[in-house]
Order: sequence, then C-alpha cells, then structure tokens
Amino acid sequence: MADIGNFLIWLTLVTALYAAVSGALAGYTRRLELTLSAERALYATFGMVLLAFVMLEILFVTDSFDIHYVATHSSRDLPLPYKFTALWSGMQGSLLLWAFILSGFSFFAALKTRSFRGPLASYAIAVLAITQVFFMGLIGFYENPFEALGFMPADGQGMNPLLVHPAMAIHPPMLYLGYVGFVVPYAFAMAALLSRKLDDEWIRTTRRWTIVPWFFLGTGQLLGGKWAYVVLGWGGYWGWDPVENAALLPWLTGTAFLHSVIIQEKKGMLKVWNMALIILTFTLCIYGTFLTRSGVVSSVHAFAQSPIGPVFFGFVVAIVLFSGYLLWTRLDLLKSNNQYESPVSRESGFLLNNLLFLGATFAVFWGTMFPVISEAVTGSKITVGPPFFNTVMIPIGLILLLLTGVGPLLAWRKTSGKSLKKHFTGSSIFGLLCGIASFALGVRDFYALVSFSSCGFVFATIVMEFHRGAVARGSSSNESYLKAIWTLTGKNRRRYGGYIVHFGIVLLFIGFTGNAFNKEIEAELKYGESQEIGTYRLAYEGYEESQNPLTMVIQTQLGVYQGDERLGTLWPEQHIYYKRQDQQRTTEVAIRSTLKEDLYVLYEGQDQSGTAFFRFYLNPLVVWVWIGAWVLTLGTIVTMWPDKREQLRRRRISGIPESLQGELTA
Amino acid sequence: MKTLTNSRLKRIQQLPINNCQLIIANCFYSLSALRAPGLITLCTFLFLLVVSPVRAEVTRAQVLDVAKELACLCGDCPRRPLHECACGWADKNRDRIRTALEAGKDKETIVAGFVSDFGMEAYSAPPAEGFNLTAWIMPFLALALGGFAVRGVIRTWSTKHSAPKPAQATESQADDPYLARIENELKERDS
Repeated sequence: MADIGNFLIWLTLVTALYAAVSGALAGYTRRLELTLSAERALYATFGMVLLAFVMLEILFVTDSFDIHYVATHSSRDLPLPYKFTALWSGMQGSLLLWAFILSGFSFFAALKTRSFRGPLASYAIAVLAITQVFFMGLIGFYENPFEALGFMPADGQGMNPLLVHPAMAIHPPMLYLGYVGFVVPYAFAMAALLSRKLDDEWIRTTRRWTIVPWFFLGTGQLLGGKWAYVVLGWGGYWGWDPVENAALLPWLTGTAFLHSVIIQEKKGMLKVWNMALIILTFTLCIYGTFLTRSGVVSSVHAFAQSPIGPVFFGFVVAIVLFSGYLLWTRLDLLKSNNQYESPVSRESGFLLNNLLFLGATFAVFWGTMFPVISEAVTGSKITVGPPFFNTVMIPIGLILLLLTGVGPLLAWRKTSGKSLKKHFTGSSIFGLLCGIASFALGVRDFYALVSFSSCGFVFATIVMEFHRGAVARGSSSNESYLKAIWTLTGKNRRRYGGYIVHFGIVLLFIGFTGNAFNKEIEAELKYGESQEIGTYRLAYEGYEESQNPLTMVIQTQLGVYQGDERLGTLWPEQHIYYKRQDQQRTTEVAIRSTLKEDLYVLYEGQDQSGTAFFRFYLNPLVVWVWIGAWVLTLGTIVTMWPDKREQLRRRRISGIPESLQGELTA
Repeated sequence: MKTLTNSRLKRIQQLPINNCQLIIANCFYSLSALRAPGLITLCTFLFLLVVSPVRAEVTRAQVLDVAKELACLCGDCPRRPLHECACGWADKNRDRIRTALEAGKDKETIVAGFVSDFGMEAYSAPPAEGFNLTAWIMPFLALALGGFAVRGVIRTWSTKHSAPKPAQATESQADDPYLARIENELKERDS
C-alpha cells in the first residue's frame, strides 16, 4: 500500500504539472479542448491525492509501523479516532493534508469555472495547478510520508500527548482550510492579470471563495486558542507565539481585502490595491507555512526543523516576483473609474480600515521577525513576547473596533454633519454610558474602559441599523417587527450578515478585555484545607489514582464555594504517559465557566507529605470569546447563504445562457 | 573599638538581611569589644529581635512585578512572560526573584542579574535602547507613513475627480432619511 501511495504522489505531481501547462496554454491560445483537458487533469489530481490520503489513513489505522511516519507518530494503544488525526500530527502528513485540501479547493473551483470557460478560468486552473505542483514536489522530494523503514517495529513511538485532544483533531484542518483556501481568489486575481480581463468578474466570482478561507482561518485560530486554554494549562488562550502570529497575518490582510473589495464593487476604485492585498494575503499564507516548518523562529508549535525551509522561502520569493511583475505590467489597465468627494465618507472609512489592518499586519510581522533581525544586526538574541505585542496591538485593535461602528454609518461619497449627528448621537451616548458603568463597577484600566465603551458604541450602532431597517420594512409592508428583521436580513444577507459578524467581533473584544483583570494564585493544600480566589473558596476534598492502557490518571477533587454555598465540584487531573520513555506528564485543567468569569484550576502534583500543589486562575469574561466565535460563524453563514435574487440579477447582467444558469452560484 | 573584619562582614552579608540590619549588626559587634557577657547577650537578643520583624516580607505581587519584565526561557513554553508561565523553570526563577527581593535587592538589579546569566533573551520584550528601539518605533512609524500615503491618495482622488456632482446624489444616501434609503433598497431588490 505504501508503494501505491508513493506512486500516487509522483503521479499527482506529473498530472498537476500537465494541468498547469495545459491551463496556461489554454489561456494563451484560447483553445477550448486544452481548457477541458486542464480541468480534467485537475479533477484527476484531486482523486489521486484523496486516494493517497486515504491510504495513509489506512496505514495509521492498521498500525503499519514499517512506515517511518506511522511508526514515529502513532502507537498500538492510541485510541482509534486519534489514529486518524495522527496523520496531521507531523510534518509529512500535515503537508499531505495541505496538498489534499488544496486539490479539493482546486477541484471545486474547476467545477465552477465550467460556467464561464475562457482565458480567466484557464489561467486560474494553471495557477492552482502550479501551487499543487509545488506541494507535491515538496512531499515527493523532501517529506514523503510513505517512506518505508525496512523492518516492522513492535510498536510505534506514539503521538505527542498534547495533541491527543478533540480540539487538536479539528484545529489543524480548519486552519489549513483557511491557509489553502486563499489560493482560489489569488489564482483568479492572477488569471485576471494574465488574461487582461480586469473588470470586477474575478472579484465577484471569488467573493465566497474569500469568505470561506477567512472564516476558517479565524475560527481555526480560535479553536487553537481553545486547545491552548484547555490543554497547555497556562491559563490563557493566546500567547503571541510566532506560529499563532503566522496564522494571524493572512487573516488580517484577508479582512482588509474583504472590506476593500466592496469599494471596487460599488465604486470601481482601489483596483490595484485589491490586487496587491490578495497577493499579500496569499504570500503570507505560504510565508506562515514556511515560518512553521523552517525553524527560522523558535516556537512551541513549530514542526521539527526540516530542509524544506529554503525551498519554501524560494516559493515565497517566486510568488512575490511573479505577482509583482504581472501587477506592474498591468497597472494602466487597473485605473479607478469613480470619484471621491469627501473625506467624511464610507470610502475614507474603508481606507482607514485598510490602513489599520495593514498597520496591524506590519506590527505583528515585525514583532515576529524582530528576534531574527536583531540577531543579524546586533549578534544577540532577543525575546519579543506578549508585552511587546500587547503594547503595540491593543491601541490599533481598539481603533479598529471603533471603526467597526463608525464605518457602516458613513454614506458613500459624502456624509453631512447633520447625518453624522443623527446617526452617532444615540450610539455614542450608549458607549459613554457603558464606560461610566464600567468605571462605577471598579474598572480602572484605561484600555479596558476604552474597550468597554467602544464595544457599547459598536453594539448600539448595530442594533440601530437593524432597528431602522425593521421600522422601514414594517412601515412599507405591514410586517411585524421580528418578521421585518428576518426579511430584511434575508434580502440583504451580505450587509446584515456583516453586521452579525461585527457583533461577533464585539463579543470577542469583550472577552479579550477580560484579560486585564485576570487573577492567579498558587496554593499548597492538605486534605480538607481551602484557598480563596476572588469571591470563591476552593476546598481540597480528595485524590484518586487510576490507570488505563495509555496513561496513569491522578485526579483531585476540589469543592467550589461562594460564602457558605457550595457551587459545585472541580476535578483537575494530571496524566502520566507511563509507557513513554520520557514519562511525559500532561495536565487536564478543570474549568467552571460562567458568563462573568472562568474559575480555572490546574493540579501540578503533590509532595510526600500529601500536600497538593494547585494553581488557581480567575479569568473574567473568557466565555465571551467562544460565544463571539459562534456569532461570527452565524454571521458568516448568513453572509454566504445563496441568494436566488442575486443570482438571477447577475445572470441578467452577464447574459449567461439559460442552459448554464444552474451552475452559477458564486 | 573593633569593626567587622571583611570575612565577618561577608558572612553577615550572606544572610538575607538589608543594609539597615547590617548597620545594627555592626554596632552590636563593636559593643561586643567591651567584653561584657551580659551586654553581648542583650545585644544578641536585640539583634535577633530586630532582624526577624525587619526582614522584608516579600509579597507575591512584588515577585510578579519583577517577573513580568522577564521571559520564561525553558524552551518548551512560547517565551511567555515569567510572571504568567506555569512551568517548573518559571517557578524556580520566580523563587530566585523572591530570594533576591528578600535580600533587599531592587528590581533593576534582579533583572540585570538575569540578563547577565541568560543574555538579552531574558527580557520579556526588547529594551527600548540601541537597535532594539526600532522594535517599538517601526510599527507606529509604518502606521504614520501609511497615514501620509492614504492622505496622498485621497488628495490625488480629490483633484483628479473634481468635477462637481449634483448635491442630491451625495446626500441622498445619508442625509436623506435613512428609512427612505432602506425602503428604496428593498424595493429595488423586490422588483
């Protein structure tokens, strides 16, 4: 089976290469048969990578330890679900997952292009295929997961225990869906440049293809945060680690792109800028992958150091040079065709939004790379940790939050003072009241006060937008208030879905702000003793050891009290992987989560006298981060939900033949 | 009158006491030169009495205040600040800070001690001096430059497209009652 898998890797490489060449030729010569051939080659690529992926999964499930990758990342006693997820727990398998997701995106994109075959679609296929060639080459030449050991060990080395967690099973694929997904809008942007078809078609075609990776990249990071919070046991969910930052970078530029394409669609402006943004976003996706796998920066998440670093870097440089050259030579075709009237307009709001997102991107990039830069210049290593990022990013983040409320209230072209006063007074007062209420409740941290006020302001603007729309709808159609909101949202999903996403962002910021009030305490407790943190009292009530085929579990019991009232029981644990040579220990934190705060308990061990060592954290408002993630998901779904009216309108505009109409949904 | 010899001074300095206590100890030793056993006993008693309560009571908050200037360098954590990290290395080095604080050392001296042992990496963030100052300046400089660029773009747009437009077109979407705007939009879509 490994031989077949190996063969499939090489066959896919050749097929993708064929798809790239035939796609490029089809775009250049405009020959339909070449386009069809490239399309089919891309379908075949997907089929072959899928088969290779399934084969590797079978090798994991059947404990085929004669395969080096399986032997080093799995073991007989690993629970079955984790034998599946072990595939992406190492370098080779995760690259195959990358290639698999890429081929999946390419497959569906190629399916879509059937409704508008032509140079744009052909070149897009070529760019998708070239990316596939790069990854298959990387797998084939450097990191082949089907490499045989030459003998069959009795057991495998097992999976890193920290990765044996449900969040870790979902987090990498979601993150990869984000990283890889941006290849589609990038491919269409390059195809537009290559074919000189530089109207808005590539943007309209790829709008959903941009939202999908943006969503997955965002939720993938939040899932990673959840994993870190629950598994790593340091009481937080975001550590500004280089690998976390690597995923944040394309998300930031992707968000800027999602906003700035609206100007191009509505006003025909920022055409060059949008091209530059999607190039930057895709480059950062590849750069992030390079950062994770090259060992350039030290990170807790990084894969083992590998020779693929320089190859990856070469690919990043190639993307920048190729895309930059294309953009430079097509500048005269990307002239803006609309006008600008006033700095107090939505256009300006979007420009400021883009400036801040790009500023935030640069700050994160600079902080991430500064240790490397500093070492090169001064010769001494330096740490750039959370204090740097918090100092730089909090003000930028707060201005962006404020802009989330201001932007949608600005009119295109010009907003008068009267309009500003009318739309901002109520929301501003509400924001101010939120700030005053926070102060009255004891908040003294400046940034926290600004954040709560801004959250209140943005929340009020969103509510007012829905309210005004519902009143207008209700008065014109006699619908009930709730029905009017439903209809309004259904008929303008992009706009109102966007507001729901903004509401999700507000909730995220509420959760982030809670970090300013975290409390932490170390406790050494004997049986029956208790320790207070905040308004809680935790009493040490018990200790139990048990053993399963994989781990020895030490479970402690803590009673949670508030005054004399018992609120519940927490069971923080420590797991010892006794079969591993390093006897690795992991902590299973116990969390009592409420809307107000998380009581987060970590058991660290005990001494011979029976004194147990705990670490208690009181993390206010954390749960709003996870609620915000769900709201963000809901907003994204609303935004992306197919709109039949919109499809019909587009078909009328583009004059697509009736026979093909069923295929166009983008 | 005898004063403490260097070796005795050194021995006392190794005790976790502050400078004030050192002066008291020196006085006590000088008195002992009188060779009066009763007085020495009294002085010893007084010294012990003085040392115990005066010895700095170091709070966890003080330890964490120093620790937040430093990074955890265990190699397993993602360079978390020392005051947040929960690993064994961080615990050990927070104890080191506590001991140093109890010995009367100030924050700067303790941090300098870490930097001397572990190099510049010991700082949790780049110190704002020398080349490392650029770490702090560049993000804001980039934003400022970006701001100038945006201003330039806006100016270019304004001058390029200065053709006057009917005022109603610009105001219709904002100044015109919002409700009318929504209604128009919905009518457009319903049609």
